[in-house]
Amino acid sequence: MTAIAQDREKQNLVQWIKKHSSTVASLGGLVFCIIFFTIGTGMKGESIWSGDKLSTLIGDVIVTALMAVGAVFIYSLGNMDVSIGRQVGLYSTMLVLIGNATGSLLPGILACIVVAVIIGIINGAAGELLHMYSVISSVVFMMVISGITTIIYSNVGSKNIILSGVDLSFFRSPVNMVIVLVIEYLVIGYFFYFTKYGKYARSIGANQTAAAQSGVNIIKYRVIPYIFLAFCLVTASLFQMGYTGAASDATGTGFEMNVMVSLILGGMPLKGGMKSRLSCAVIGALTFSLLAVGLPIIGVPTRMTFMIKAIIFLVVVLITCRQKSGPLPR
Amino acid sequence: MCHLGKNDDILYMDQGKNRYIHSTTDESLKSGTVQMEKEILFEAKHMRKEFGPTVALKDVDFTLRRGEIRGLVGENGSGKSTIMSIASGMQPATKGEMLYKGQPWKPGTMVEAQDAGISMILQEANTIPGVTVAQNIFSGHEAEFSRFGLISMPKMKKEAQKVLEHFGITHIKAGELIDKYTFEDRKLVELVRCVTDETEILVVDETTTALSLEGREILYKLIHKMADSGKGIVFVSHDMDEILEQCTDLTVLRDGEIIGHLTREEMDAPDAVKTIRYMMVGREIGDKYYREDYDTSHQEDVALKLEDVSLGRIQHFSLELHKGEIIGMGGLSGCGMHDIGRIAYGLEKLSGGRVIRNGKEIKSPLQAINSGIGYISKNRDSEALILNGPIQDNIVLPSIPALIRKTFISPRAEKKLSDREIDNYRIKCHDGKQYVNTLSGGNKQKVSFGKWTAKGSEVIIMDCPTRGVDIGVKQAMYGLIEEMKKQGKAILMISEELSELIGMADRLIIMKDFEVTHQVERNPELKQTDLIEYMI
Amino acid sequence: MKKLIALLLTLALLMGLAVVPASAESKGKILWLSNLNSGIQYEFYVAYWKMIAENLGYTFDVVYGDMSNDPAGNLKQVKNAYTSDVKGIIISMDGGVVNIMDEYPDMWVVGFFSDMDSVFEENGPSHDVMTREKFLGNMGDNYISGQALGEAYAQEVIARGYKKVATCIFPVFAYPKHTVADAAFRAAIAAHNETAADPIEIVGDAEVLAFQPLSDSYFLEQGRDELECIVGFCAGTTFIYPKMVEAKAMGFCRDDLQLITGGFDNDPDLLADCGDDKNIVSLTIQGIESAIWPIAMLDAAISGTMYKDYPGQERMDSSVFTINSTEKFQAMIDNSPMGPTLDLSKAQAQWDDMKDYFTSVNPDASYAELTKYCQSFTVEGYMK
Repeated sequence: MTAIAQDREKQNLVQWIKKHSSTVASLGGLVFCIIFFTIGTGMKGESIWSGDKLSTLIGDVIVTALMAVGAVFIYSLGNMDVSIGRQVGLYSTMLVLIGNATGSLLPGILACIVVAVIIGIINGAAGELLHMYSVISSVVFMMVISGITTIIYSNVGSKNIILSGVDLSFFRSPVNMVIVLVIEYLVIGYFFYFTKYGKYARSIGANQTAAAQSGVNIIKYRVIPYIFLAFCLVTASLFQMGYTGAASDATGTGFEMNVMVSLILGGMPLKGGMKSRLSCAVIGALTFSLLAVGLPIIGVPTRMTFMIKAIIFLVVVLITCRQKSGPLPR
Repeated sequence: MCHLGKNDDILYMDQGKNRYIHSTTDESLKSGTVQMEKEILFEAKHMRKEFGPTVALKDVDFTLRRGEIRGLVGENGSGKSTIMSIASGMQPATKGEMLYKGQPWKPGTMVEAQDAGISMILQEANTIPGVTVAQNIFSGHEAEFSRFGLISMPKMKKEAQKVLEHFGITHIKAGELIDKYTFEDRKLVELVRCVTDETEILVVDETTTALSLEGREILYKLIHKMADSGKGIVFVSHDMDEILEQCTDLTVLRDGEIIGHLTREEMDAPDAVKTIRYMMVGREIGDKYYREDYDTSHQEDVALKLEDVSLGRIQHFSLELHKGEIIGMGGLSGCGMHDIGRIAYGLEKLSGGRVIRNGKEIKSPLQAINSGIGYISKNRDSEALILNGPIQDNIVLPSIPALIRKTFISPRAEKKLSDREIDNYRIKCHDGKQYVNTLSGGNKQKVSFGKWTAKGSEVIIMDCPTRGVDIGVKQAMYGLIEEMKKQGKAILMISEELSELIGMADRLIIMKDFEVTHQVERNPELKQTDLIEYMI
Repeated sequence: MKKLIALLLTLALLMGLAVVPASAESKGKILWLSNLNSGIQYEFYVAYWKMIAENLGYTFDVVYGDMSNDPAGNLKQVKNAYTSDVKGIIISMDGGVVNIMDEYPDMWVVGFFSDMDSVFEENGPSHDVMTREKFLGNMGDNYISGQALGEAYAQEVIARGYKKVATCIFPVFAYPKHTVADAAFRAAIAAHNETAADPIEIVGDAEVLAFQPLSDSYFLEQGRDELECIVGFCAGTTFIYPKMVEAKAMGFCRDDLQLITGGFDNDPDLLADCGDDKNIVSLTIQGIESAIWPIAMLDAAISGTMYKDYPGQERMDSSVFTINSTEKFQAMIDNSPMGPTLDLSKAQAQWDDMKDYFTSVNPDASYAELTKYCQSFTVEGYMK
């Protein structure tokens, strides 16, 4: 290879890295965590890849990942949904209550799907129809659902409720968790990458006016992503509730933040648009969980882990956030 | 192409044809002696700029003297904007040095450059939305109006109105929200903000395409006044007529290199336009530019009908567009012609009348697209294209319904469709995955054309189709539009450039104040001056 | 610039991690699933347990419970913090005890400092653990029964001679203890009124605070402008005190309205407002040295030398500090470990005082004596 060719090769690589800087940074973050914790935990005589820790890791990541995969659809619109956590709380509660009443999970699942889809449709349409930021309608839902949850638990008279008489072992198996996550990823991935639903969502996120002028029905394709999210949230609720067999008035609190942090760690552009990738959800959720599981093993005191997570978050954001898209000279 | 002279090349040679094109050594030397008397205001030496593997400027030497109105022309991507964007602090050079007023110059930001006297007005909107005109004009200088930490708005408003009047702008009110004004007016506000008494160099970067006729007059007056008082002006434009009329000197760039300079006398030469075009493109582009025929015949079938439509100040407007016909609409930018384009595409809720295609009423863009209408917005970057998206996604977006098999959209089919259009229009790109915002203006516009040819649209509404596009590409586009006519497509061409309307349209409609003031068939005698009276 | 900051932060992080101390050889790790993450009480417990753990040869770490006490959330926190050397856990969060024990069947668990002993009652969500060998019992946050707490507050009210009082509680589904305490309080006052010449009026029903401060309109309602005392079964220093001070400033209530509640903070501003003639007249908190109990139980279980007289898991009160006079408040500031700065040397029980209660130190130690010792600390202990 001539020097020039080598030089070009190098330049191409640099270009590729620059072009995919967010991918590189987010994947890099994950790879860094994996290597770091593999070595770090090894030095402490533990292993992050031991059966126990691996299942802890999968258990930690599953609910966030299931939610985040659906949320990518919403974030690709340039929207944000802060009612995710409260929704998961409500569906977990419904699953327990209906499960206890009927002795089966199925009626609860169906009821949750109905409620989730209705919430999704209103959430998705309200922003466009009422001309407000879509996050506002999700704030409203967050509050409303929070109120409903409080009423439910006041009536039940307990802070947490337990589902009995239903076999929940399926939801405790790490293997099943992975299988369900993979299936959800493939299904959502199909819709996100290979159907008009995903293409339109990303177009709307990138430039709503241009999308509308290209024949995209804005309201319809702003609502449909929320329906995909609805199914993902019910799936996530099943695993959230299924692991402990319990739900409480606090179930789901703050999950929307976990989703957001995961997506950002995964390199998802918060403005949405064409650069939205589904892999952000899983990469980010894994990174986040690796930190949560790995740091205590290598002997980092719990109170320091928050700080370390914050630093890593900051590093990823600094690397991935693009410069202000100013006018470029011709 | 190879250089014979290193500094201020005046000799150049076309390798393909291997002959000297133009030699103005003598005149240049003469004018050079004249120039020697004028003080050098700005100088760039061996300036180089790379964007990744792309070299935007290759070792350019550029000099600007006091009192000059220096035109910079060149095709998209020739580097003409890059020189001054570096001088005005928008981006750093990769190599080379600059001198400003004899001192080394290396601005870190545009604000720094502006404070030192180098101001640049850009093509894109650069005003701050949601605040008043006055606040825009004095943004960054609020302290001048503050007492005890509180800003006196009335004082600022009064001062701003004074400044506006000083520039001869009377129709913009300083106290109003900037959002109330059109793009053209906002551009003027930007001008007012950028130019102060301290401004030594004003860079006008393709701004005039965004200005109305009155706005242009204001700008022209301003730059001549500034040049007369010994300031330097750099005028970057695609509009050859404008350049020839306004500039005192002209520099032509191609592919990041300076190809040559023209003095005022050379610009007045009879074949100047041809020479300049040749220098820009690097090849003979031929005499054919607009349509050459005067055949206004078209098919009998009505492709699109506007029936008595009313919207806002537009009342009872009717229009019949036939297959194989090009209707041109001209006027000042606020005359309502752009609204007609939006109405015809179903973007507006009408207060009266109907838009009809194939016997069906069009009420939304979706219906319009489905019935074979395409629309290219005049706001290309904000409405017609997803800048932050790949070429392929842009091109296939309207065609997606046609690509669906069950629910599946095959990436291969998408690529095939988009590659066809990329080939068709010879869009300069690596592949369909390249992002549109990395393309030059002309190539961007090709993408928005490609959207509709990919879709197979039969009626194409094009609003300012050649805005910000340089001649080489313009010429190609006129060819395409002519080709579309031959294929029986119906075209509604809305433009602020009278020359292209005269050059292309079968029938010309002139509007003023939301009313049609004049209609004329295509004919060889038609002159711009005949039409302007109906516009103003 | 951004890249540079990113790089610097990464370097700082790596260096920070490099100096994380290697864990010394130990008998295992003891975790605390904490219900606090700041404040002087939190600081005391962490430091006190760390000191004891080191003396016994264990390592100690804190796990922050789920902020909303969600069972799954608590379990997740424990799972993330769990390492193979964890031998026992002190649980101050009541949510998810069963789930945690299901997940780690070999880990010893002891309850301490939770305000929710009721989860272990029959029909309570965590009742199941009362039959598990690995569960070592629960020592509550002061009185485990609402009954005792209500009666104690009633005595305080009677002793101080208030004639018009009102009560505040948290919602019953979250804090059933408060409702019980409120009922006991009312019963005790009613009993007192039967014989008293000048009866005490309890204005209205208990005000239920849904984890929100007292509402602005609270004092505008009938009779409340005449109140002499508010009894806050909920965390009154946070949820009642600020609004009460505000209302006083606005003239919405009596100038001499006083507060009886729980919770302690070494914030000087707050303490300056505590005492016989101040806004806060009485604070009831857990006797902090009771913290010896859970770690002694874990030590006995982990080292396999369980107290010979251990009767199986029990639920019990801790020591109670009733800080209800200017002198006692002063003693807390001057002589307790929870003064302006944490000072373990002021604790009523130092290592030498307590070591004989640990079976790994003294195989003959007795459970009954340990329990009695841990319940014996009082605020008077600081008033030498």
